Amino acid sequence: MTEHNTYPTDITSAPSHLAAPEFGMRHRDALRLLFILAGGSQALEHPTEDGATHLFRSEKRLMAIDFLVRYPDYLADSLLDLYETSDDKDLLAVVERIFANEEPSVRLISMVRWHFGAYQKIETALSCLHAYGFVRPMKLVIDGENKRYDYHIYPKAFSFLRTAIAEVPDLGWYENRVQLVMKVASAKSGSELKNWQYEHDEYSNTPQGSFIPSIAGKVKVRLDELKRAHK
Amino acid sequence: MNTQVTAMKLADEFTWIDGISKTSNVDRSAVEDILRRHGIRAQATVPRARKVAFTSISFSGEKEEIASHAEFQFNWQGLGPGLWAVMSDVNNRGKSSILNILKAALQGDFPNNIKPDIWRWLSKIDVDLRIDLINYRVSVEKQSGDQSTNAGQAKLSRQLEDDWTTLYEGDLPGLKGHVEDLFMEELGFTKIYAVNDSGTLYEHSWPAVASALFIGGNTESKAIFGELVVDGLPLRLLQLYIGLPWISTLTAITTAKKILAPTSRPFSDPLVTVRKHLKTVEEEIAAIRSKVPSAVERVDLRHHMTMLDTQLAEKQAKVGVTREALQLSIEALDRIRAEQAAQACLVQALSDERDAGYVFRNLRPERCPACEADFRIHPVQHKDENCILCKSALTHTDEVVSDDRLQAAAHDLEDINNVLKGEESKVSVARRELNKLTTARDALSSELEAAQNELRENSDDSELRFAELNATAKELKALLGSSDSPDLKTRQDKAVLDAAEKQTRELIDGLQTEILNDVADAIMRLSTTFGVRNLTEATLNGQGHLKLIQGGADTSFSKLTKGERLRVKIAAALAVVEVARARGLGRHPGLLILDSPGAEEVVDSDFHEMLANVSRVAQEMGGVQVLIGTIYRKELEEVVPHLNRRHAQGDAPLF
Repeated sequence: MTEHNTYPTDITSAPSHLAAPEFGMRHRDALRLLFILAGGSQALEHPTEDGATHLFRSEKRLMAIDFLVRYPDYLADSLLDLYETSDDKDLLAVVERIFANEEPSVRLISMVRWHFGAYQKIETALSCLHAYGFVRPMKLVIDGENKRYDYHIYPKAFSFLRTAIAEVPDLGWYENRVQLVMKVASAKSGSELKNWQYEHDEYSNTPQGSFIPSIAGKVKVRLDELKRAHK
Repeated sequence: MNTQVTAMKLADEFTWIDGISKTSNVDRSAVEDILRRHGIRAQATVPRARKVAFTSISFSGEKEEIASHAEFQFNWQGLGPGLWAVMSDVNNRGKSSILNILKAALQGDFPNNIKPDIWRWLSKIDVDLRIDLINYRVSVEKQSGDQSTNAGQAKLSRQLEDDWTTLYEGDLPGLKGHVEDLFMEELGFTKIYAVNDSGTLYEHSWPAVASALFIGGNTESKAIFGELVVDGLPLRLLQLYIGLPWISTLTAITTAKKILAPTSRPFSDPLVTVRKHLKTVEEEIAAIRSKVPSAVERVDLRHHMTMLDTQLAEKQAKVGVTREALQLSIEALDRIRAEQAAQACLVQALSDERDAGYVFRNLRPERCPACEADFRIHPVQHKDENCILCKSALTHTDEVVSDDRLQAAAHDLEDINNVLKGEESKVSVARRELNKLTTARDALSSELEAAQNELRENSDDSELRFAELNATAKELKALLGSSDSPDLKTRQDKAVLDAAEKQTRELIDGLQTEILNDVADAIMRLSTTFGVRNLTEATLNGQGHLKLIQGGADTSFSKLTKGERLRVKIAAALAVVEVARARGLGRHPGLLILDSPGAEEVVDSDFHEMLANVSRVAQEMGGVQVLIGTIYRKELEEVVPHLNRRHAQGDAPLF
């Protein structure tokens, strides 16, 4: 099996598995990254000389957003955080749907924790996206003490994604998911998003080189409690 | 070890009854009848062990400290099997109080060892625990500021599916009996009977059995297992937890003997006066019998109650079997659900890969991924059906769509879903059956209670007098002694019971000696590892006393220093779990609570060994829960997972 899936009801007894490389999902991974890069980018004031119209800031932010797409339970938890500060009742229904569709287990794409948190090498996917003329990774940007890698996005990427969804409507899930993730991620930097992830004991206690465990059981309890309080 | 040979010998019930018949000189069918009448059954196998584990503890109240009054609460959810620790950097931060609350809940006995000030502050306690897969909750509510030991309301409840059923709700002192009945029934333990100096029969029950699960806190205790040394309790607890075959039979025999002759002490004087008194009493009994016709009805009612009691026991046994089957099905269902989730995830991934592959394969690269050369500026010769880069033939989109992997995975998922449906329906059938049985059992229980009430309510003065006289007569007969003028039946019963005891003891002795040797060896090995110096020999005698040779001198457990006793006691608790597991007979409920195992001058390396061995034994046995209360030491880092700790750092209290 190439996918690793954990949806334990009792996270304390969940074994921490050693990381194993994934094979055979390169198209899915490249497409997911393209949805994130497109959905999380900002329009440039002036297109670049080679025609790029949008900019996605920072690889760290890309990893953090990808983590929320891959772990629907952590996303659900952050949406509940947002609900508690915004009192936006629709968010409860959104989180409820995530659980009703069993996304924390069905849509889970496990990530391994390394020194700087959840990480997966994306060079292969990026070179594929670059070869098709969708994305161009930029050279290292040094902004004061911060160093980051940004990405230019080309108009072709947006039209490709529109065509993809028109041809295979099921792929629209990724577009909707990135829009949902941006609700919690749009106002935050990569570091802020990472810090939020580290606030979860299950995440910060994961040994390096092991899969980050699910927190679905805990979040479901939190959702139920908030629903009761809301009634 | 020749356990298998011994067990085969033990299992021969026919030979056992034959031996009793020969020794007692009573024929076989009479022996069987007498044994049945006294509720003695040959039990060569032991019931399977059930696992007990705490799942949560929460409590709250108001502190009355010199500086200020403040509300406090403590809440620890999600407990389960494994090693758990409550720790603080300095002493007196509430570790023992948390463990003592767990102990009081397990024994149903509040406030038990909870310190008076903490008990005074408390207003609400909830402790959840699990016996195998069934959840139970012990709750106590009282006024904060009330220090009395019997004030407050207690509740014991069981979770059946999503509903909580109340098993007891009432005064605090009433909780103990209900918790005791619950655990003795669920764990299948029998009460241990004893007779005091005045010849009165009394029993040791759940509190004594449970005390062996708690170690520490009371280093004054001279008992190696549990807290009491009287009535051979350490040995009896050892036998219970090791799960020695035939031990239930032997317990039933010794109990029957004690009931048959509550005192064996002969009274020589004044027998004449006693007999005369007995005669007067018996005359008065006869007079009441003739005057009170309702006595006949009451006899019928008693017969009816006996019948109800038998039916209730049968129904209860069926409830047990069905509950066990339900638990197995639920466990299987959990496994299938996990498998189903993994498979659904794989199907989703493969389906996404197919779709993404489909849309990507309609594209042609514009740039070289290696040198970034733009093919629109630097045209490359290629045919449409070949890859622009490697020139190999491109797969047709239609072929990609029919993905074998996806089809196989989807097919597997369908299979798993079918199995899941089957198991779900099995669980729901078993649940319905269990509900039906428990309803029928509860109805019998209510009928029995109604009959008991009727008996109680209808008793008038003469009946009370009748009961009083009967009790007096029984006491007087006992005073006269069973050997004084026993009737034939009692004499025969006694002969058969004596023979049965002899026969059973002979069967058990060999295996018991082997087991005691194993336990003693394990105790010596572990004690030495924990830092008890110069031990060269350890033996457990038939009374459960531990004799030791230390530094060449004879000594015993009770003569060790406090520090040594603590270490040996922890070693003994682990030895029992270890030997029980190795023998495959064990009935240990898989719960250990260690309060301050690092106290009494245990050095770091010994403490580390102690923790490592506790962890090893817990892991080997599986499903074991160990709760440790201790001052924080770095040795804990490797053994206790971060999520399983409560740590009060610096001067901070745990609650």
